[in-house]
Amino acid sequence: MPTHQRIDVSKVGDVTVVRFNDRKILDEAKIIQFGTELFSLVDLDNRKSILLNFDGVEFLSSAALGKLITLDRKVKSHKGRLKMSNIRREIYDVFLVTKLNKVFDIHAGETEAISAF
Amino acid sequence: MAHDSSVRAANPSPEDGGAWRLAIHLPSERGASRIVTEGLLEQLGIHGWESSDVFSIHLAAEEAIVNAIVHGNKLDPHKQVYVECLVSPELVRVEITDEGSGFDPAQVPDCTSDDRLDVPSGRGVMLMRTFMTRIEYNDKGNRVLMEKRKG
Repeated sequence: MPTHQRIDVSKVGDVTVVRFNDRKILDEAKIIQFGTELFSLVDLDNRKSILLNFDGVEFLSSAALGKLITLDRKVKSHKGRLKMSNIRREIYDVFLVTKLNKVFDIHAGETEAISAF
Repeated sequence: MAHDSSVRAANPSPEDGGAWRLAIHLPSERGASRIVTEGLLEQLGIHGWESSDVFSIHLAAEEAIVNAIVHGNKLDPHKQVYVECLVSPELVRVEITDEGSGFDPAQVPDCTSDDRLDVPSGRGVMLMRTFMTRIEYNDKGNRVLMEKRKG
């Protein structure tokens, strides 16, 4: 099991649940690390069902959005499924105006998201 | 944090209604935006801005400064980004100037078109427009002025 600094990874049944260690996903160096750690779940660990639980995340920039989009593409190309939950209102508004709510599979809470896999 | 920027932060004065002002040169380094946003966020709280507005202003300022450093100055250590901020209870103004050759914001592709939805980059300008009340570029395209009005 690789050690992660930006994310916290656990398993609920077959679903890999990812939480974030930073309230603000902002600093560019951290965003690069954030991306590397997320991508490794697919590229190295070959995880197929991944839930990103954004509980506690207050801010993310467009650079972080880019990493989420790349992760979504990677998961889909590996025939896996990516879902998201617990997104606070302001960040959900960012997903709405960028229409990323049409790209990402977003659920209100973790339990609901896991049961949707 | 050690950097070669210069800061001029004026104390509130009665003439401008107690507005906070900042004028600063930032180095063209990743992460330099923090030098501005930390003070900006503190002052937004002091001036009574609501958390949803604070999020919007923070997002727009972050995107604009990163654009200036990365796309404008192309991380050139010999170039700087000049930032001026004003925070009052009713108005926030952020003006950002880089030393790059400028760009035409009208030529930025629509990131919400179906064929670009899964492109990882190119959302910063759109987010700045959406989350601020007013945004204007100079003709050269190396300076952006953004305003947020309360209400």
